[in-house]
Amino acid sequence: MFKSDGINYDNVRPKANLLSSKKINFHDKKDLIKNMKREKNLSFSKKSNLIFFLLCISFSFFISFNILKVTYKKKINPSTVQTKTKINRGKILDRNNEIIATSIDTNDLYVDIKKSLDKEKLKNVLSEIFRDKESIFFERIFNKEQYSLIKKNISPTELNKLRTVGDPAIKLHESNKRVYPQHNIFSNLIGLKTNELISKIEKNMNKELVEGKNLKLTVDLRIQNIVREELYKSLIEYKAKAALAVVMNVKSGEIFSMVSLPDFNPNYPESILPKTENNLNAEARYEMGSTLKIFNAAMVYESESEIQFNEFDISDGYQITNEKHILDDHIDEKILNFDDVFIKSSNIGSVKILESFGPKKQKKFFKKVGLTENLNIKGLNVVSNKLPINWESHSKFISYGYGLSLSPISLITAFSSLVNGGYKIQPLLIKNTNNQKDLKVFSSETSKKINDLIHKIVMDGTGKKAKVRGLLIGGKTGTSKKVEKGNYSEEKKITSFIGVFPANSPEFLTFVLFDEPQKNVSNSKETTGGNTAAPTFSKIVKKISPIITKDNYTKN
Amino acid sequence: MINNLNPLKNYNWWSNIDKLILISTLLLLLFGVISMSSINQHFDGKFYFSADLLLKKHLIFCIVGLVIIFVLSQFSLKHAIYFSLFIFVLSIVLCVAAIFFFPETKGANRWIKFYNLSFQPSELLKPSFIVLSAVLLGRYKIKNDYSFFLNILCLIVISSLLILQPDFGMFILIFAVWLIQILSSNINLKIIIPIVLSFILVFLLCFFTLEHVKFRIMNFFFSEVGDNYQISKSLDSFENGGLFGKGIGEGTISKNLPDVHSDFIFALIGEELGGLFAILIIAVYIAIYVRIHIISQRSNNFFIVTSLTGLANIFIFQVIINISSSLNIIPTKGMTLPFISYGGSSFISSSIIIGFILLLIKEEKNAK
Repeated sequence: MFKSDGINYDNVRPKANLLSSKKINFHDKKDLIKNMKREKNLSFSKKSNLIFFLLCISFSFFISFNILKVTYKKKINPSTVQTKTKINRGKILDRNNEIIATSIDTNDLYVDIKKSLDKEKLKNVLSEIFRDKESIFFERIFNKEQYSLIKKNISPTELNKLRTVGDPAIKLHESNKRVYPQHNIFSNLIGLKTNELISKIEKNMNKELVEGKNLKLTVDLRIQNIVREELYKSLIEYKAKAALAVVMNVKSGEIFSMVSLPDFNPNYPESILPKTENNLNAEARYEMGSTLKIFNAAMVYESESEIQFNEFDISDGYQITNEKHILDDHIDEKILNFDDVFIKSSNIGSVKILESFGPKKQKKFFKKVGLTENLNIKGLNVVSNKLPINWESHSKFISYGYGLSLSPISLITAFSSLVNGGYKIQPLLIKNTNNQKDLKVFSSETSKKINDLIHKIVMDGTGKKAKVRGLLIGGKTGTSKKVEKGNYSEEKKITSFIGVFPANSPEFLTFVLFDEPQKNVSNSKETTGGNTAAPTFSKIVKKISPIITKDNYTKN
Repeated sequence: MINNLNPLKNYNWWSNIDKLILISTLLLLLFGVISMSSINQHFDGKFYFSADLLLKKHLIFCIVGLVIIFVLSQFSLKHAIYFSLFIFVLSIVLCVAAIFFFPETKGANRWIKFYNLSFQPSELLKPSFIVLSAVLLGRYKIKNDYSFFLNILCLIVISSLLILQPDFGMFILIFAVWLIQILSSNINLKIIIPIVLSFILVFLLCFFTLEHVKFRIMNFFFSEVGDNYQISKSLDSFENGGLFGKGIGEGTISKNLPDVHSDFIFALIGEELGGLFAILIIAVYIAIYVRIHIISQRSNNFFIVTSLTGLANIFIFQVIINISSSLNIIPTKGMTLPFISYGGSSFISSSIIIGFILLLIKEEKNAK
């Protein structure tokens, strides 16, 4: 086709000396460039080119798909960009509008080292201001010469110092930070929010808070403070592992205080330990012990059974299963009447009362009180109660409070129904979210009898130390052994007291629980709910009752 | 066929040129001017630029680029090869000069400077080396002489210059395109395997000795190693833009992104013109690429096939690397987007690539 006559300008014939190599000879009779029709080479080349071509095209489709993915995300949540820049996260307030959590505007500090007028000076000034950073940190940033982050949320003092430097390399980006002015007091209830972490109410109510709405809670800063202080003193005194307390209105369900110890300071997220982060009131469950006996009494009253006039012989103990034989060592009397079973807190009496009812009725009753269902409280993470798989074989244990693990908040809710005239309630943590109906689950008679009974327990029984001068108190102690390596431990106990006031027509409920207390107020060997939780209850109620009996704390 | 000696045919520039590629290129230039005019308002004063300097400079580059495309596409094959040999030697000399005689900028010796103009000679290496390599490969396939080793020698010189600068991304780009050329030329595996092995060795060496390469790769795979401010801003821009964009000049996030006018121009396009428009731009690039491939598949000249696909690959790789970096698909690599990004050297280089491509397509048509 082409003649290599030297006229064809398409031929390339570089001179040999051009590439200064004698071996390479571009002068070639065979028409180097135009005439290379080696079919084999060509077809191979085309085929492999096609493969790379297809690879490139498919990668481009992948990229396009990625663009769609990234840009389409925005459609679903159009407010993200605006909330980041404009709307500040809402405050969390207590019932008297005291601030529990709020957001403040801060700055993030970046440096653009390329723009610096005097790098050495800037480096020295920065390491002077941020002494907590290691010198290698600045060394690295200044060597990189990039746009780099120095610190997030710098303090006003640091900001003022930076302003006097006057180097164009300093770049401040607007940012904001969540602060908790009450420090530890509400920590286990509110949780925290940082750039990376978010928990509890901050997480559960995030949707409302992000929109900038303020969140008003039913809790009271003063009450919460008193409860936490008293509980903390007792925790130290009894050398307990953990403690918790709740103050609640039994009619409206409003929670005035919810304390769980040990707690943490949400302003310093780095100091949080695993054992401090849980709100034990809702996120833990315990075998409650004798406190549950009061439900036996309610069951008897509700069915108007003759058994409430019987007497019970507790002298020989009771053989529950082949291995398990129980005794009531702490009671001197041999014969108890019905009220005394609860006043003295007799396990044998409770089992005997249950015997005349049977497990089915017991289960039905527990269901009616609401102990078997999952509580759903807005803002709180509540764990579900752990029920025995086989209720029949456990029913006798349940009658005196074992075999059934309850979250404290669910026990309180059920107990409220017993004392408030028989109405089922829904605990409230966030104001103005009340949508509960007045559902009556007991007769008013039963409730009245229970109130009399728990008043007697405080006057003459195991709860004597819960008395408060000038107030009618009713309540029930609880002591239970913790399970350790498959057996019930004699040393490690859960002690609790659940009490209401005024006892003739209860309005308020206070629940106190200690995990593994090692000492007690009466210096006796036995640590019980009566000598640990009851005295703490008394101290708390003495201090909070003047605040709590004001008008806006009761229902209607 | 002797008729193609007819000089008239060559003077008819418009009828010989590939219109699809030319129009696509003009479209890309237009998008570039639009983005640059949007950035221009924001950059005023920020980088000590006088008013409109960025846009004015960009328009000058556009004109220079169009002249280069026009002139190059009129060349004959022979002249094109001489020309590429010339710019190859020239850019190697300039690269050496950049390393030894010019001060370091942004931690690298890539630029040579005259007064206010700076130029990156390694950009010119890309098209010229690919064309020369195609010539040498063609020769090797016929004669089986030392031309292949001359090819490797060229590559070694280029690689060592690029790593000395250091310009690791450019090295990877050139090597990848060259390797595809070699692989598709049916060279003996005994030669290819040592090449690939030595590349891996060089890569590992670079990874452990060049701090920024290690940093970027580690940063990509383990994002807590350092701050990826640019990438997060870039992704934010895309998110903010959505499918249909905020409108020209309305972008807020991408304007604060460092290097938005060069390496991260695509983030600006994503924010102001929207995701669908961004895909349209990719489609324009792909159209050029597909067109080149269709023509190269029709050709029966080994040199034209190899050099066309090589040039097309270098062009599309640059696009893919740039866009993938701004979408966080691959580790960040500062590479410009052809014809859209600001930057004289890359503009000239892209123009040379398109000029060569138009020339090769014209020659291919004329051969038939």
